Amino acid sequence: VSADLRPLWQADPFAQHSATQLVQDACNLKVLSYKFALLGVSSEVLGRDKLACRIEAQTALDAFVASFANLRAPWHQCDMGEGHVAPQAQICPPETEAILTEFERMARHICAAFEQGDPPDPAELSDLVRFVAGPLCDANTAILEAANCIALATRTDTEKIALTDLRTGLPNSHALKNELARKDSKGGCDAAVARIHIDMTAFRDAHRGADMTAKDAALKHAATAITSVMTEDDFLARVDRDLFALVLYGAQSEDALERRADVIIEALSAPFVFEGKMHQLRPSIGLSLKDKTDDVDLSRCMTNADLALYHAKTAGRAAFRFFTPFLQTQREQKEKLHAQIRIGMDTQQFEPFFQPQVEGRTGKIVGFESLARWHHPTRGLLAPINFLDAAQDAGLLKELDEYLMARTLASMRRWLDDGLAIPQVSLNLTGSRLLETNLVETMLFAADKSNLASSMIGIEILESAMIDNDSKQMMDNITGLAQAGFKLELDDFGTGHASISNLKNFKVDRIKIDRSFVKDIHLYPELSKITGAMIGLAHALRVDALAEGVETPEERLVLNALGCDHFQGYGISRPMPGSEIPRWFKRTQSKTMLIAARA
Amino acid sequence: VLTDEQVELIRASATAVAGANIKATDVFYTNLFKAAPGVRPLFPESMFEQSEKLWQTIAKVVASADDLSAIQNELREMGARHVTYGAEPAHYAVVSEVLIQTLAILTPEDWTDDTQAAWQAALDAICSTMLEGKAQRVG
Repeated sequence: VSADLRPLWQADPFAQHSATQLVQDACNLKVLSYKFALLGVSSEVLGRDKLACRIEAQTALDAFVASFANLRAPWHQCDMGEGHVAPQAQICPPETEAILTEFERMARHICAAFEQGDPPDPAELSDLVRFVAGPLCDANTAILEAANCIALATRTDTEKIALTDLRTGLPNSHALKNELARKDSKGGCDAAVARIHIDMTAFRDAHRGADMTAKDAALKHAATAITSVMTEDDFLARVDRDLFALVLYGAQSEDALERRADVIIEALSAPFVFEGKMHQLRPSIGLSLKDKTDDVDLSRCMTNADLALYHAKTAGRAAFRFFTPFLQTQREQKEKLHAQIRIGMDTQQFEPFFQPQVEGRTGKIVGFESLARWHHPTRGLLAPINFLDAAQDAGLLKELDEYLMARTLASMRRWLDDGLAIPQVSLNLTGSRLLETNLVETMLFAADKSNLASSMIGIEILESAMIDNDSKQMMDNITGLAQAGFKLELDDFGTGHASISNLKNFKVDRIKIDRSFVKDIHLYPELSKITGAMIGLAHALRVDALAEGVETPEERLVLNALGCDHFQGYGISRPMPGSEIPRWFKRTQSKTMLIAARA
Repeated sequence: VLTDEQVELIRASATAVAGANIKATDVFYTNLFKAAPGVRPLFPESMFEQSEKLWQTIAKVVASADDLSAIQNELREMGARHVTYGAEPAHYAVVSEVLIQTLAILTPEDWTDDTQAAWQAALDAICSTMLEGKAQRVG
């Protein structure tokens, strides 16, 4: 069987089944033809029961005809592309087919005699036996060899397919694993590993809803670009969606590797045209060097490069980064942190703290912001900046959020029951939670569970979470939350470049002016003009303005003069545990009225 | 001891200050820290709570302006507490001056020499009572 067959069998989804069946049919032809001949001979020479012989012979012939038909069946000749040779023509060329047809004719004739109750003609039987032992035996042997050969080729190609990335034709992650295992088993070698990530966000956006062809085009472009700058010894694989792994064998200096990385980035960043549009991919590369005397094997080197890639990606456009032991330490610390967060959640080390928000002029409480705190067993009290990203990485953010939300709302319920007049409690929602499908229902359920009206719950949304995000789910959630009566607040207002457009797009109840527009406002007249304009903007839209990070009486004085509605910050109070709220409330919210004093 | 007129003047200006658009305590502390930057470290981080405390005290003094002896003990205890806060005798004069200045700024139309004299008399009495408490504590 020529090598030409391989692509054909590779393309056939039934290839493996076909090949097994083919060998089976080829065996059948040989066995059945012998069986038929023997039955004929036994009835004549041994005088066996004619009826039994007739039935057995007919069954054998039927089975032979079926296998012969199978050999010529369409699924053995599937999807022949141009230039491919049909397997049937290879297995059963016309001269072979003629021999098999001749046997079928002779056998039918003998069966017909049996049918009529006559013994087979000895001369005919003799011809048949000679034919079976001679030309038919050779033909059957040739068929069996061809079938075995095809089966072997198919098996080989199945293995090959398992190691090939069908979108790019490059080796895949299994192939890479094999390659690394093979090299590692041979002992140390000098090498470098590059993990290459292609950011195709822009391309995907440009072809949103496009079929696989569009996405494949970008991948193929990337594969070709990297291949074009590879040397013969390098090994390239596509290992994940937008991820390639390149192994560069031989001793490499850091400088040389840097140059190679530059070349790869240049090749990948070259603009290309797809469907009439010009595109450019954005690669990031993580690099790891390995000396043959190193303890690390290639697989470990690959993991290290991956870690470096993570840092390259965060570094921004078309960057590469080398693996360093520091990154390793950082990673270990991160894994440790993930484990600690899990334990912390199991042992209730997380607690909502509450920071008061007061009316600017009167100091009257308008609400509390609930802020996550972690009582870390060795590091003390930690703020979200120390664990929020890690909780998200560990997939624990939602669980943590819901736990803190339930505790926050339960605290609010208790305060109200105890007679503290607190108008509102605010919760923070991260961007990822805003993408959840049942967010509005979850929030309403939580409010209902604590018997709180949704209007008593503020939802703080970071401006940055909404910037450049045109997710329909997010828009629906924000609109849904507002319609359900929750108070929407734009957090860190002024720091994002979409501040004003957000006010236009959403029904916002309050803006929280970022602390950078508040700090030392009394010292900088220009700053107070900007902050004053923000407050004016909010008021023009009938939205309350809250100043974050208020610390000093001087800042409060200026903010008051600017008409800022609400204050929050260390100057009012640090966030405190729920248990301290009643005491704080008593100290600051019981007013002695001057008029009453006069009376 | 304040005259009835002085008590009335104090109550009238305090009521006006309470209704002003600007919070008197913020103006007071802003002026105080400008006049005596050295006292700033004596105050806590949450000046909001501190301001509320000050306003409560002012309200109490105004309410008892006709009979300051009624709050004498309270003022002495406050004076004793101020030792622990790090307050020194010289601070009392500055505080009185800044408070009067603040009240004058916030009620410019009603502010007269008589009003100023009334407040000065009240604050002098309060300061000396507080300093008695301080002396007792130190003694």
